[in-house]
Amino acid sequence: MFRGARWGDVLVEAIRRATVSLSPDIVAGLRRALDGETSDLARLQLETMLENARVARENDLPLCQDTGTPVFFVRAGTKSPWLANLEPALRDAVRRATDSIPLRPSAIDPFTNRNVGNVGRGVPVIDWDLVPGEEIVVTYVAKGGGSENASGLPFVAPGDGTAGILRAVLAHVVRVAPRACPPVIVGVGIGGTADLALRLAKRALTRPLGAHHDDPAVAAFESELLVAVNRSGIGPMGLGGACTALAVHADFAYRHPASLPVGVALQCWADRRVTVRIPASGIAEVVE
Amino acid sequence: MIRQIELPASAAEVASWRVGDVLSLSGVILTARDLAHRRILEASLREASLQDASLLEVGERGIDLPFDPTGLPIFHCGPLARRDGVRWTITGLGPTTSARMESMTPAIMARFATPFLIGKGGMGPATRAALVERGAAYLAAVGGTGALGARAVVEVVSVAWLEELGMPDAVWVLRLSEYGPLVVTMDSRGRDLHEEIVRAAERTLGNASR
Repeated sequence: MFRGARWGDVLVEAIRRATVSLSPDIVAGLRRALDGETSDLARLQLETMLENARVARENDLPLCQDTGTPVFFVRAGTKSPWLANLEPALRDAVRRATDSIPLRPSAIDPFTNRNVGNVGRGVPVIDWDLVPGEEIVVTYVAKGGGSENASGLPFVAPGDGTAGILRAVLAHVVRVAPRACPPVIVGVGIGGTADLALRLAKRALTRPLGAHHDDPAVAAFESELLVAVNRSGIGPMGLGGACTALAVHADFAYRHPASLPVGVALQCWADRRVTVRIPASGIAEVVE
Repeated sequence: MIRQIELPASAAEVASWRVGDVLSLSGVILTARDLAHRRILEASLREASLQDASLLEVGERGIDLPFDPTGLPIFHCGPLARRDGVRWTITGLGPTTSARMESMTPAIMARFATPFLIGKGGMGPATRAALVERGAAYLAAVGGTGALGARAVVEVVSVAWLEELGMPDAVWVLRLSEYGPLVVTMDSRGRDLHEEIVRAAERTLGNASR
């Protein structure tokens, strides 16, 4: 745990940690995956990932050269005294982390192709969730380009039910997983509108690895989809094997009678994320 | 069993690599990803059209690139680097998704005698055919292992287009020492492990839904 009086400093430290240090739940997940692999190539991929995590942590090096699009998931207490300062502070933290770690400049103007660093129009991405209370909880995720390109938004016929959702997600994941640095984490957002379905999928990725949804029906869906994805045999880095996904995290919202959007978001195995709690006092802490 | 390869590798050596071989490379490679591919190709097309027109002045003859990709392996990679004064240190080196370069790769390989490619996720049918035609290969690096890759870089030989394209899209010429493990996933006989795995997955899932 890292505490600091200045919460801006704590955010920079949190980004550094997420960049160089793979969280313990992912390390444990990769080790479990290794135990389940019999193919030499699959084992080599996982062993190299674990070795890389060790080298990165010991040498203070970023896990991946793609330090990602910075994304903040914010649960903001509406009574927090820091609310108005938060957005400029998040942008400033990314700027400082870019210089000090350093992060790779990865924000590019789509029209001019000019690379501006990591802060620009729309970047860092900030997902706001206003909640009662005085506390702000910020989860930072470094979203790699390879896994982001694997996002999807199938629209399932409502009459096809849960089986239809499962088939649609499975078909999508099997097509894109080889390019998303598997074993991946699969986020699924079911229902709502198109944008909400994808937002739910993205938010679900931030849960601790393998933490099931509270609703038993959703948890059962997660388990069933995980088994199906891993039955594909795509395996680590798509070179064949038993583990294509480390976990499936799903969430849902109520749907329109005509509409059943299913947002699919993938995160690569190098799932760099960290959470910072900013209480009203401003004495922030990094939550491991 | 990892085979140590010294670069440049002979044509016979590259043509002998088979799907499933695991290699480690020492020697010079260049990085090129999305925007660099486009720029290299544009320069090549300009060259070709100038020659066709046979109107070129002497000074415009040949291809105008600030580096010579001839005979160098192409690594699909956007590195992370730190500048200390005038010196660059690579702090992250690993593969990006190769499939995005599919449409531009056969022409670049033909023009610059590219011996082999390094990336992740594999390529498409046009590159597969080019590999067979040229006796070349595609090596898959382990995605997300930028720290291990950084430690294999012994020298930044040159960097080009840094100002115009930015750090990831610039062309970095790097000298590596024992960079790996790299798995041969597409070989000069036309085998393509990525394609085989995806086909097998589709069969498995197709059977399950029946």
